[in-house]
Amino acid sequence: MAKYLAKRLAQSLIAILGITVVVFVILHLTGDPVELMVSPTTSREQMDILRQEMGFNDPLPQQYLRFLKGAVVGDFGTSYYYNEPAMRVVMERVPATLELAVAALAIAVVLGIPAGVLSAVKRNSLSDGVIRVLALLGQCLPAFWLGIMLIMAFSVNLGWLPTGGNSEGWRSLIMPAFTLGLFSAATICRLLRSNMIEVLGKEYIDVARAKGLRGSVVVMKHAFKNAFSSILTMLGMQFASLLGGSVITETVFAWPGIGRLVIQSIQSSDFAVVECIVFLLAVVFVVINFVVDVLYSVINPRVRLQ
Amino acid sequence: MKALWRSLKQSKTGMIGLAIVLVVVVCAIFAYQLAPCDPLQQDLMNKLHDPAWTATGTPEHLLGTDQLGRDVLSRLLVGARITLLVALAGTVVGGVVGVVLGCLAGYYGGWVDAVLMRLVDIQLCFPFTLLALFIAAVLGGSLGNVILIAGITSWVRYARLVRGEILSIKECEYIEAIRAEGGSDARIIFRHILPNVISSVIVIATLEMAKIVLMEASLSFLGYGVPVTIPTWGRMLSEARANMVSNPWQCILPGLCITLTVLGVNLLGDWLRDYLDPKLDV
Amino acid sequence: MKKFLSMALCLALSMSLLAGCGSSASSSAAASSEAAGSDTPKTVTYANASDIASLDPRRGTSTITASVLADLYSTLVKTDAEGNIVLDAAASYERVDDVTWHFTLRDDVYFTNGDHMTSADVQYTIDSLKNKDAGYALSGDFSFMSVEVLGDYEFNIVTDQPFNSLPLRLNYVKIIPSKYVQEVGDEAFAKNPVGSGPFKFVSWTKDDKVVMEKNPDYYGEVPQIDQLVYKVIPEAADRVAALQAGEVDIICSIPTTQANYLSSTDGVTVVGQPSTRVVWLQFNTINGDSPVNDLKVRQALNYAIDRDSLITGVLDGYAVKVASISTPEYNDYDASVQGYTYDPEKAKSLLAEAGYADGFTVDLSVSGGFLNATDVVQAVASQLAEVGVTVNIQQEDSATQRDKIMSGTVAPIFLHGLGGPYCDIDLIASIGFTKGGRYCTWDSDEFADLASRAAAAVDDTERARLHSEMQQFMVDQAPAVWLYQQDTLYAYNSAKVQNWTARTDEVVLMDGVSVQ
Repeated sequence: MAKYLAKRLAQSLIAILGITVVVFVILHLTGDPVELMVSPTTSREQMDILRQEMGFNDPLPQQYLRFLKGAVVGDFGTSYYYNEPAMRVVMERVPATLELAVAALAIAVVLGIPAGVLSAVKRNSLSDGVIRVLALLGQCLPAFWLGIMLIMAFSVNLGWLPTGGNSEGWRSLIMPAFTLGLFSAATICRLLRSNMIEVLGKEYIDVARAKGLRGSVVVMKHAFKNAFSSILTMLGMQFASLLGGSVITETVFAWPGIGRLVIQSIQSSDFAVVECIVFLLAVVFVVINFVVDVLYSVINPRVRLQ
Repeated sequence: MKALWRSLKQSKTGMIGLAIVLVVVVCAIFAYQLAPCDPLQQDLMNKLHDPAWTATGTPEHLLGTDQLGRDVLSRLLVGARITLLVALAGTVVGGVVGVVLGCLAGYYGGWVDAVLMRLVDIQLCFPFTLLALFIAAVLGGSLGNVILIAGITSWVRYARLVRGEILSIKECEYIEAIRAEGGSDARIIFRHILPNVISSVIVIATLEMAKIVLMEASLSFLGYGVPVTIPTWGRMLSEARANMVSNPWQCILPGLCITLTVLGVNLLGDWLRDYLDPKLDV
Repeated sequence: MKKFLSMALCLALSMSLLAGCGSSASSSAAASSEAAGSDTPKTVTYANASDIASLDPRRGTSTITASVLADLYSTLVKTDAEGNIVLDAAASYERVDDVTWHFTLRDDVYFTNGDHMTSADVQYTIDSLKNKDAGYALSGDFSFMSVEVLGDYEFNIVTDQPFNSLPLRLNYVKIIPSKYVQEVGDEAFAKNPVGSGPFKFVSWTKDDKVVMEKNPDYYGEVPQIDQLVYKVIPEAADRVAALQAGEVDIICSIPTTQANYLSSTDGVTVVGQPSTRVVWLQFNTINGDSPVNDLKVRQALNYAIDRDSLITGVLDGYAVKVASISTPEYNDYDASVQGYTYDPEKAKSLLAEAGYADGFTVDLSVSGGFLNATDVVQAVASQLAEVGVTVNIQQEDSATQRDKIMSGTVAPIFLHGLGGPYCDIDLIASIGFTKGGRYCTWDSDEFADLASRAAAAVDDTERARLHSEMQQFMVDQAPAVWLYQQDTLYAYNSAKVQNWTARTDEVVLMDGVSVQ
């Protein structure tokens, strides 16, 4: 077990390192942020001097090592746009993104799990059909379009909810959370349905039924429990992807989280902030992945052999 | 082939999927024949017309005109062409790269496998949208680059699948036997291994294609897609957003096209999976 | 429960679709305007596209930042809505010689922490800007001046070289409290800024809003509203929706198409204010062999573009044609300088003379930020196609485009422009068209010489003569297709907001506003 853990850990670290290299190289190909840091009348020579002073003229590997040294202790340098440590700029936005991701996950669970169970239990009924169509639609709706449609309906026409931002509590949260959570809800629903149908077809369910247990008890106790372990691992991954996937939702709803920050920072070549966000997201991704893997191998030791 | 058709006829959803996809394909192929106007022709005096069935519509432009007076119907039709082109080309690029790398990793193992699997790890740790955005920001927007991005963001699933399959087949006795007889690696891979995974690859390709349609639209929406002069659904939506309040139809129509296309491809993909490879977990 | 949920999902989806199709013109801003009784604080909320850069005026780049800072801080002199220089914290000023300006400060200016504003604060403000290590974004724009303190309220500002637009430039120097800043340090100051403007700082939620309240001890006219909120709403359509829903009272930078739509809405007033932002298509003549290096080609393209149709067709009339580098709002504007007329035949013959009878293909780069920018270049492309020039539009991030402009590798034609609180002909000339200027993509020693003589000229008539020579030169040599000065478009809830005026320099000020 320890050997397996160590191996997974090493792999995770390599992945994080790889991501930083990729991001660093890509970013430094896009331009340099000196332009952002000076006033409009600064001459080109002055800017060259600044570039030299900031180390943007150093060879890329040297810049990368400098970045890595800082990243280990949480120092990603200064945001050129906000003139504050990049880490602080990002951390200020993290609560908003977490709030949105948690709400979206809640919506995904509240919509996805009951719908999946219902669909599996009442297989081939009308409600199964409706749920399957809706779930498929949920996976096909582009988040940006869904967001705009919701804004048009509930903000512009009905005037019930604010168009964006996060300053009005749950009223601000509801549309972005739904937009972000719908895809996950649909994914959870579909996965749960197929898993439960598989489990429901197994012999021990029939045995349980033969023992005289009531239908709904069978469903809850056995089928759901069995299907749930795979849902649990998927929830972990869904949450991680919600954190990263909020880029479009946050942009559409002007949600002041890291998704929108990363787009703005890419557009304004604010390297430090982009690097910080990607690094943090990668760490979160890898950690969740790792935990899920380990949990899974604890539950199901056969996996380790593969 | 007959069995395929019979199975399709039994699947209502598969038929719907096929119908939608066929409509999109026909629109794409005959876009310029079907389009009532030149999709790039501006008419600044007749801009922002609503569709013909609304109070402010005109019969000349069935679906209205955009902010430069271009015919929306014509642009949607040509948009189908771009969508299909990106989706097909992107799927081919991603599929070929994924299958080849998966073969190499699975067949040769060792450091090749280790390196490729770490690459897979890296990519899986990287939010999909962010990756696409990054590459688009660096490479700039062109049709070729968007296709490339589609490929780069989708190769992983093929690679994992093919690698897994090869790992399980490689040690089979008959493969050993062929090798002992002096069969080359390429021959083993192409003649004996790939045919075993091709159905799974087709299923994945269909589902990835739906994702690519969404990705292309997202990129265009964020302003990183193909150049402005090429009409795409995502860009039409992003340009129409500014006039969302006054001209809602401009926003509704391109989004409907995207959703329906993705739906069609997914329906078809679901049916294909049921038919070809029911055990594939996607 | 399960049924209810799936029903709810179904309902929400179909409603969003149905509602989207309905007519949306019915909602009116007036319906939602708050009743501002004597008990409820009178609040005005205005919205624009991006967040402020900083609350420390020394880092306050961007016009949006300048707007918020102008509510919080005082300057020595300021400009009125039409751009005329008027006194602010200074009681009087005069130019003593070419490089020296004498100022007297008002003696009743207090910072909101109670500190009295004296010459020492002015000196600290300007001196600290020069601190290279601190990396203040604005240092380059103000480092050419220094302050000689003569008394508590008397001081001289001395410039390195004669600098005629000093008062205009000082309009941007927000005076900061020297004692407080030195005591708490830059970082704490930026978090909790103390100024002497009409409003006091309350809070800043990044990417969301800045809240300010009235400064009851303001030395000028105390604001009539209690609270002022600046809200960040990035999407233009969302700003329109927010105005209609009554979430905000004033919205800035709205698309021209929405201006037309909003003017027909009850209780909403739309203002199209010509701004000092000049927009042009600049030629990159310093990147190897390119058709635009040829003067005849540049002139031909000038003849080929129908600016009137761009303005009426694409910009819905919210722009004013310019003939050259200057606008009527700038100093020494010469109305007698004639720009190019729309003459596609002449364009074709000039192209033929230059050896491009069959036209050519050229890249055109555009980034966001200008009014209807992508639409303008698409219309330009179709106009140029008429004379045989095929245009490939490259859409780029503004950061990317700037990088390319500065390295000289930008496309042969790019949409560009300059404006803002201290823009004038000298600024555009030096940044955009003088060799070594950061956005210059044209190599003309003759113009550089002309521009530097004009900027340094002290005598009014001589300076005016040089400035009009520059304007003519920019037409003749055609380093750009001079297009128009764009309007800044605002819309406000006129049932609630009173006494608010739009300004030419794009700064949004709220000091005189009242509410009903």
